[in-house]
Amino acid sequence: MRKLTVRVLLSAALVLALLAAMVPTGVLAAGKTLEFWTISLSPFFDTQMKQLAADYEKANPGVTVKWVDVPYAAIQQKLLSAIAAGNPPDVVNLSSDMTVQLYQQGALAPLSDYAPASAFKVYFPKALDTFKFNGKIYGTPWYWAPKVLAYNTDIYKKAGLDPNKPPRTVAEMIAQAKQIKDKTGMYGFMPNVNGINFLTIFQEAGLPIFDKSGKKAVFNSPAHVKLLQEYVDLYKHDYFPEDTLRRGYLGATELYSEGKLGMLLTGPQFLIRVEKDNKAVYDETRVAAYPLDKGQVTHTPLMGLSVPANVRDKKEAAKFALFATNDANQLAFAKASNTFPSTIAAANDPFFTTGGPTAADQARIVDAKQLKHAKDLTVVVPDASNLFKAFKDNIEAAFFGSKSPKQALDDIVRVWNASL
Amino acid sequence: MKLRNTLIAYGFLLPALVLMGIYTFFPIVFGTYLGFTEYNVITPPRFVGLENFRTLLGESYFWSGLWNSIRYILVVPVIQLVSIAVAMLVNRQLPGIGGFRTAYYIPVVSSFAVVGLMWGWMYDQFGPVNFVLKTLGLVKNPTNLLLNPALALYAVMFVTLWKGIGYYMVLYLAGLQSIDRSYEEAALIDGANRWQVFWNVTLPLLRPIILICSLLSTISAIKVFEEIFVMTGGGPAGSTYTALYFIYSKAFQDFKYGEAAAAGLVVAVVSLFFSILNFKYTRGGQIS
Repeated sequence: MRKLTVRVLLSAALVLALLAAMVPTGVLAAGKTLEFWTISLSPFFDTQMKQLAADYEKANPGVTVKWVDVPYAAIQQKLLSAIAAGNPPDVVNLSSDMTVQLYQQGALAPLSDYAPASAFKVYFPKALDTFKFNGKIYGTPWYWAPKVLAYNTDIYKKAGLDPNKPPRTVAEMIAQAKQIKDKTGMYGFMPNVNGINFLTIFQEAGLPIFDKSGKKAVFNSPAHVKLLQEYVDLYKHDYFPEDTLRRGYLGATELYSEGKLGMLLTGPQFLIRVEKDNKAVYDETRVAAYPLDKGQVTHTPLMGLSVPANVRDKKEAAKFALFATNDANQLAFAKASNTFPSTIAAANDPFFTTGGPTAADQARIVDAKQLKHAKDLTVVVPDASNLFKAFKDNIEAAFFGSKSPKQALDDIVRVWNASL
Repeated sequence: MKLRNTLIAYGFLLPALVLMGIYTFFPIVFGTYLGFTEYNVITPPRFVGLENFRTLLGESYFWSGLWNSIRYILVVPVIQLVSIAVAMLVNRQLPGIGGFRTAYYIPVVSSFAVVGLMWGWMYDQFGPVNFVLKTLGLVKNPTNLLLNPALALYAVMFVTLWKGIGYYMVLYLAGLQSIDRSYEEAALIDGANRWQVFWNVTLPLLRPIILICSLLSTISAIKVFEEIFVMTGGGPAGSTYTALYFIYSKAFQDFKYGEAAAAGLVVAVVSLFFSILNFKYTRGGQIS
């Protein structure tokens, strides 16, 4: 009899557990559970994210924040699966390009429908514009990190360059990179020319991607061809290593950490990696502003927080997105991560204008000064995989000599205009 | 009694059938259906007939990818020959032979993420492969083999070969050990030399295994994706872009699951065609 009772109780517990597992997030028990996904922040920023959750729970009794960190490469697939299964996170961290893609699929809710317009006035307008489509806001701007130029003073001295005079423009950077290679045999720089990064290089040089209607690609003008030719010539004359075309900034960070690269164009948060990999190189490192080209603009990808379209309590979700990206929370996160806040008041905190002895301290001050040049230059096109593949393949063909720069750009523009 | 036995047999088969139903048959049926729909995961599938296949006809990247996938089949004869040779070598009762067998099998159980990174370094401009080639005087100015549009696909194929040998070696080893020694001994007594024994006795008796291994490796070659994804991303200049890479891009970058499923169906038909060829050339795996 006793055995039977135990069995009945165990079965009941199992059924209850199964039922509980089947109840969607957000409607558990009397309180609410708010699920919040971030991209690759764990384990480095566990403390900050847990504090953020605790602060929100304290300010909103009855709400439990469940923080989930997802790897960068998996976030879009996981999010789509969760949305399709009807169990999306309430708030999700997305990069600006991911936000555009998901907006185009109708997967995101307009936050401006669930929060007053005044709530969005805390952000830099150009940061907010990144998440604005058809007059509605689909994400709250979060953190960004304008790139800086880190340079190895030891290599500078060996190349006969003055460590107090880092390059201020792209032309100066190229000239110094050549001098470093010619004098030391080491590479001077690894420009971000891999993949589709030339779309950014064009814009930073003040060259357009589309015509005014935005429906026609125009990046095969003589000026565009000349710019691509310049980098192809640098590659052919071995002024940057071929690993640049395969591994981009990862390869650059590694070579710089080995003490074999003169200059590193990088986000300030990656300087921590140099410090961990090679303290001696880090100690020789100084930081200068990202060299500007004619466009007077620096591509700065922005992270944001969005709310999937099928979240039940969108108002609560929007409230959390605004809370997580408010002045105080952005400032706390920026201090911990060596990134920059996208709210006006937080960005004006003395922390960003107070120096220190390390390269990371210098990067912070440099970033604060050049934030006015920061802009997310992500190019948005339909049928992105095909168009970006056409771009990448042809740019590589130009570098590997199977096409001339003009032929390569003409071919890309033809493919793009057939689709736009 | 017969009915009871049948029911018991089905009872034992049921768990596996349920799992296969969920994870194999349902995806096949649903994937086939998706090939005729417009679907982005978020909104329900909308039937569009043959539209996705029409779009696919104009997708030059799909066809260039499919051509690269078919070129990848070049790996099949090489991997079979090398695996048979290795299986013959380790099919001896020598001290420490287990260690050799394990060594050949280690690449099989290594993840492609690790293997891809390792070979990426091996092929580097200043990596060991170029060091050897330069030392032997075969190249003057070393370049990363994965950045050479003419060689990248073959460089990745070599990694597939290196990683797959152990797997097929085990199958061939099982095949070799199942051959009755008396056949080979009879041939030797009749005056055949080692090569004649291998060619006229061992190899024909291995035919069923050759069919299985060729089938598996042909299908794997047409479906090649992980190596490409980890090592080259389809580059340089599209030289390693394969049909499966196209499918991945369509589904997970463009969210066009219908088009991706349609492309998947075409790849399945191509796999079927090459499978039939395999059957034909191995005489259906028949020994006699």
